[in-house]
Amino acid sequence: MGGAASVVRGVDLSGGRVVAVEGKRKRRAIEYRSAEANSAAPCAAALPIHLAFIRRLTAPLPSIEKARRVLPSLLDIELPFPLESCSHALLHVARTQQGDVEALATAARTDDIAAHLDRLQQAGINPLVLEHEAVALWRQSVEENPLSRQQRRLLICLGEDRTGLMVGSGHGLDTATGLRQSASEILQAQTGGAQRLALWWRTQRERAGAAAWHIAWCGPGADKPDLRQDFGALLLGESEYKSITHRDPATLLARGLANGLLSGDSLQGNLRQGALAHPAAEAQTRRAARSRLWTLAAAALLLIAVNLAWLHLLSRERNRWQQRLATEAETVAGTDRLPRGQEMLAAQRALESQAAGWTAFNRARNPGAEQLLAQILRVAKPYGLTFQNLVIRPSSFLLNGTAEDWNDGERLASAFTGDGWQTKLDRSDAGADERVHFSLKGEK
Amino acid sequence: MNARPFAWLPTAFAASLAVVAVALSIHTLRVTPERIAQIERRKGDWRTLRTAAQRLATDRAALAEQTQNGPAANLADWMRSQRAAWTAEVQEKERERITENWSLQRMQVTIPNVNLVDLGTTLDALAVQTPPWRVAELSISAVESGAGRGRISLLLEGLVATKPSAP
Repeated sequence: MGGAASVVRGVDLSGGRVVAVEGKRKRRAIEYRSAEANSAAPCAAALPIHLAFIRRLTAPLPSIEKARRVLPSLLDIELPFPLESCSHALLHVARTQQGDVEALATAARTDDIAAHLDRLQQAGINPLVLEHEAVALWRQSVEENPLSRQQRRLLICLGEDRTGLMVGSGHGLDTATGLRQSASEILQAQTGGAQRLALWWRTQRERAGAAAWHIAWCGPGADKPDLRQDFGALLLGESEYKSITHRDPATLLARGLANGLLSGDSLQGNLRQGALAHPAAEAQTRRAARSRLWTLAAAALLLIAVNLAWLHLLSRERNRWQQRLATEAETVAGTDRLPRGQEMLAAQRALESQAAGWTAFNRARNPGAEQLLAQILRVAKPYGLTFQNLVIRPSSFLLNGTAEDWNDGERLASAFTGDGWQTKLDRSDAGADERVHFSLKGEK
Repeated sequence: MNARPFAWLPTAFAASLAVVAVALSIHTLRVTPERIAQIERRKGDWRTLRTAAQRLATDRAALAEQTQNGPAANLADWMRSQRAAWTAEVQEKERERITENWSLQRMQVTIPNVNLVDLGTTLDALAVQTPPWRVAELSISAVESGAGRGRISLLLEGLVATKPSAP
C-alpha cells in the first residue's frame, strides 16, 4: 500500500463534491487522470487547513533522535489544545546549518479528524492516509513550479467551501492558515475573515524581510480571473507581485495527495492514527514492525552463522595443524602412541635421546685420522724428518721428532697453518745427535 | 480477551536471537586471539619437528647406505685373517647406540711392532670397506728395532649391529 502501490488516488471533498485523481507512476514521472470516487485503488485525502495546525519547529539539539523526542513537547506549547487530544506528525526532520534540528509539525484534534473522516465516508471515501491539506498542496505546487532556495511563495487556494493561504520557500513550507469560507463569501462579507487573512499575510511579509515573493493560485476558484483579481486586491492591496496559476488548479490538491501516496511521503504526515487508523495502514504498520523483527532475526542469525563458521574454521585449522604436528612427532619419535598434547615434548625427548648417537654417526662419516697421518708423512718426507711419537686424531695432532735443519720443523708447521689448523712449534738446540728436536701441536 | 495471546513471541524470538548473536560475537572476539596463537604455536612446533625430521631422514638414509652390506667386519677376525703376522691386541672399548638396530663400535687395537708402510695399507684397506673402519685416534711410538717401524695404538670406529637388550 501507499508507497508500494503503483496506482493510487488523491481525493478532495470540494463543496460536497468529490474530486478524485488517479496517479500512476511511469518511470520517473507520475501520470495523473480523473478517477471514480469509489475506485478500488488506495487513496489519500486531506484535512482542510482550517481544521488543522501547522508550524515549523526548531529544537536546539544536535541529535535528530533526541530532537524527535523533544519536538512533541515544543509542539504541545504551540498548540491551542492539549497534545493528548490530537494526532500529530513531524515532517522533514533535519539538521539546520546552525546545528539545530528543524521539523514541520502538523496536528489536528482527534474529534475534528473523526468528523472529517465521517464526511469522507459518507461520500464513499475511506482514505488510507489523511494528511494536512497545506502539505499536499505545497508538495504539488513546488513539484510543478519549482522554487529556488531563496525565493518565497504565497500559495493561495480558492476552494468551493474554504480558502487557504500557505507560505514557504525553496527550503519548504513554513506555515499556513485558512478559513471555512470560499473567497466569494469572504469578499461579500468583508468581515473579520478578510482582515484576519490580511493580517496574517502582513505578518509573514514582515517575518521574511526583503525576500522576493511571488504568488501562486490554485483551487477551483483560481480558474476565475475576476475572483483572483478581487481576492488579490483584498489580500495584497496595491502591491505588485509576479503571479502564476497552476495548471488544472481545481485538482492540484488531489494530484498532491496522489503524489504523496505514491512516493510514500504522505505516510509520514498521516494524521489518521491510533483508533482512527485505516485497517490497511494498521496492517501495514504491523507488517513493517514484523518486517523489522524478521530483519533483526535474520541479521542475528547471520551474525550467529558467521561467528559459528569462524569458530569452526579456527577449530578446524587448529586440528589440522595438531594432526600435522602429531604425524611429524610420530615420525620423529618413531612411535604412533604419543599422548595428545604431549607430541612436541615426546618428540623432543626422542630427538634428545637419539642426538648423541647421530652426532657420533655424523662425526664418523668425516675422514679419519689415517688421512691426516698420510698428509703429515707426505709433507715431512722431503725434509728428512724423523718422528719419535705421533698422536693423531681427525682434528688434532701432536708430533715429537727431529730435523736436520732448525727451520724444517717450521716448514712442517707452515704446511698446516694455511689449512685451518692452529699450530704450536717447540724446538730445542741440536743435541749429541746433531739434530734439532721439535714438538709440533696442531688443532682445528 | 487478547485476540493474539502469543503476539509477543516473534519479538521475544528476535530479541533472544539478537542476545545470542551478541553474546556469541563477544565470545568469538575473546577466544579468537587465543586460538590463533594456538594455531601459530602448532605451526611453529610443526616447522621445528619438520626440520628435525628432515635431518633425521637424511641421517637415516646415510646410515642405510653405509650399512647396505651389513655390519662392519669383525675387526679381530679380520686382523687374524688379513694380518696374521701381526701380534695385534684387539679390544672393544665402547659401543654407542645410534638406532634400535645400529651402533657405533669403538675398538682399541694395539700392535707392538709394525712396519709403518704395512700400517698405511692396512688402514686404507679398512677405510674402503662398507661400512668402513675409521681411525678415530692413532698413536705411533718409535721402537728400537729400526726406522720405519713403530708401536701402534689405534682407536677404530665401525658400524655394528646393536646388541639386543637384556630381557
